[in-house]
Amino acid sequence: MSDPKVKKAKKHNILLIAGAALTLAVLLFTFVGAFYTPRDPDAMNAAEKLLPPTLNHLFGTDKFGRDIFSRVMKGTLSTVSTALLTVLAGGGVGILAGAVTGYFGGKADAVLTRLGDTVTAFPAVLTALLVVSLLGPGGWQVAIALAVAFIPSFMRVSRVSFAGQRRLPYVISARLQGASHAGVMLRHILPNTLPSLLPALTIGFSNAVLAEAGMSYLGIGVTPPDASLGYMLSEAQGMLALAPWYAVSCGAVLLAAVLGVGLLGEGLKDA
Amino acid sequence: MLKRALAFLLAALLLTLAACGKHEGGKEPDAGADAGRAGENSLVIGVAQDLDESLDPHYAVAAGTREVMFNVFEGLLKPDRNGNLVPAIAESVNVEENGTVVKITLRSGVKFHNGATVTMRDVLYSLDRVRGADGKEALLPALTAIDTVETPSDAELVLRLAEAQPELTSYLTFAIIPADYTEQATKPVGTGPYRFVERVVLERVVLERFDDYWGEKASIERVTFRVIENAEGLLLGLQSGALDLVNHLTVTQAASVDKTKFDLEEGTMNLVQALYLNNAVKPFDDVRVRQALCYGVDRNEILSLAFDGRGTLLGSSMYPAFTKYFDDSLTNYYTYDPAKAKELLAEAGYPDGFEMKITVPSNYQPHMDTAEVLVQLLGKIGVKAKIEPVEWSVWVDRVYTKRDFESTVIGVDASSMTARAMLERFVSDYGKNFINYKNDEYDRLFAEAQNTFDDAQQTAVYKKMERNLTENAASLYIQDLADMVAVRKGLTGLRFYPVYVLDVAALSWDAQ
Repeated sequence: MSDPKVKKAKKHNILLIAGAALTLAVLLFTFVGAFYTPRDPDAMNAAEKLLPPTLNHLFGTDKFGRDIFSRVMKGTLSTVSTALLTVLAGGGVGILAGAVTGYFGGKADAVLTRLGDTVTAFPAVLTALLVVSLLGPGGWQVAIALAVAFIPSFMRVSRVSFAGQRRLPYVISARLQGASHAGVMLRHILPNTLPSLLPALTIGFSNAVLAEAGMSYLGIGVTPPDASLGYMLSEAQGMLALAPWYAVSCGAVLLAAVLGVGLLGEGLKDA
Repeated sequence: MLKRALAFLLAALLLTLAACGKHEGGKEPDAGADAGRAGENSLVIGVAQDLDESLDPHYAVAAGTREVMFNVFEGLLKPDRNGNLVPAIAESVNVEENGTVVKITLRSGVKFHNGATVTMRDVLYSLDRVRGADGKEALLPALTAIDTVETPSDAELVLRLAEAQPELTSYLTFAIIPADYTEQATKPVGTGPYRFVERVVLERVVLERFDDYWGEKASIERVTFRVIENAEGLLLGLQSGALDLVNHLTVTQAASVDKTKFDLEEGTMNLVQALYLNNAVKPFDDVRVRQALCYGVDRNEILSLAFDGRGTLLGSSMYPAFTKYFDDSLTNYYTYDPAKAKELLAEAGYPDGFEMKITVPSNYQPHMDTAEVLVQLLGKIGVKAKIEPVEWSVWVDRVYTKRDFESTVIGVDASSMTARAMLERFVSDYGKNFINYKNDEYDRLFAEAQNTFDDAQQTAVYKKMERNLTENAASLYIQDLADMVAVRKGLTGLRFYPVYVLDVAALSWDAQ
């Protein structure tokens, strides 16, 4: 290996490490939030309204005197779990559909790809809004809505990878050795598509985090008084002058989640 | 949909920038934002909801519509800031012969916004339209008490009643509109100090000063009501200079208004805010459950948590501005008693509480905040409430019109200064009885009130009706909200009325 390449690899490692560290921190924060919060995130207290951050309330309190730190923990949990669900469902269906259409090609490929293009023609959030209007607002409904909206993007990435690999000599020789189509796709092609699929999944995850927050921001995701980062941000926005710590703390956690996974994906792409 | 997409773009921008406040506006001239629009003598007012689909004053449902159109339409009489009725299109209204004859003299030379002069024909047309004498539904059932209508001259109108009706004159505030004009719903024409210019649905309503107004002319030339169905948007509009006046702010919202640019005025909203319960659905069809909610919620907590202690507690469907009818002894009929609440719930067959849904119009921050606190407080007696935020139009359609809901937080106001306006809506067969209240005694009392011609006696019957609502816990009555209004410095003349209106004609910019 020549010198410049070593240098490049090193730079990517930093991205990977930083991304992994940030993601791990957010996941830990989320995981702990599922079982423990320093205060009851829903307990209101008229005597402690809109307090700035102190040791008692790390992120201060909101307009009902609730502890923002605890609410951010709960909110992150709902945002991250919705995003994970979105990526699992949307990614699962999308990658499978892309694999089949890319591998076999033909009419099914043409139809499914056009269908995907049609869905892509609408902004993802509009599609999600449509699904939510059918299912009603709420946490899991948003996950389904976003999953549906995100399917085409995963499908496209996976289709291109599978279509590109299916004529390569190793695939043909595997077929000649008697491997089934499913076996070839799963055991031979899939591992080779990971370099493009993994970043797609991580980018999809950070998009899903933003989209979930955006939808609760608009009041169609998680409904109050349940905590969610998006809704808290929309609430904080009106009190920016009065309680800047509110917007900053929600925004910082959201930023950490999106940035961490983004960096991770960036690092994985060329690792 | 397009609006939502735009809103999302804005949201995405905001989220990535970790919520750096940025306003979508910029359409309004921003020059000299601190002085507002004093230079061009115009005014932009932010309102939290769009107006009714039809602007026809006789069909308007929403208080928010009446609030705006108060400036466009007038009746024979109109309310003043003290709740008295003063002559408008009528020059005088005299009640004679023990209340069975109402003699009205029209003011001469009153002009409609289309330039025509108000004639007896217009008055009769409007009167027949609201009392159902045109063969259609009576829009103001109270006016069906009129037996015969006579017009001794072109300026004199005599209404004869079979029996005296103490409240009848209060209903003479119905809008006088031009006879046979068919575009009232989209291009309303009235006689008020402002004339309607244009409406862009979900965006704005523009009014212009009517220079041929019969009375004292308004000062400000052009008034735009901008619809911003988002509490934060209203505040940002104030901060950015896009808005000059926003009313119905919560205490928390008012606290973040920039006091160097705005004055804050406090009045009351003159409405009954309550957790309205659909009396026809389980479990609210059981009076014990409704009473349990009344005992189980500490309403003072709502005031202190969501409104910094401001607001006036209420115990029935009547607010204090109705000095004559308001019965303060009902306010604390249900004292906070969680043990008793649980007992009642157990009696009703819900020892472990139940789940309920509160449908709230999400554009009204005070109602959303109240609902959020209610969820918390109801949890203490084992009732698991969930909030369902809906858009205003969905609320009107589903909750108010189709009555497809379990409970809702909303404010109910009076369209006229009468007890009937507050109480008739809970008569079992009344068309707007959206909570499906059904109580034979209540219906009987209402009929009695309509047949009681002595003012004092009638007032006593109305008070019994209020007590009936309280005792049967028709809803969980909460408060008359404090009305915080942000007014740009230099803009003066804001008046609070005992009804839900915004008198724009009284406003003016200080000379500069």
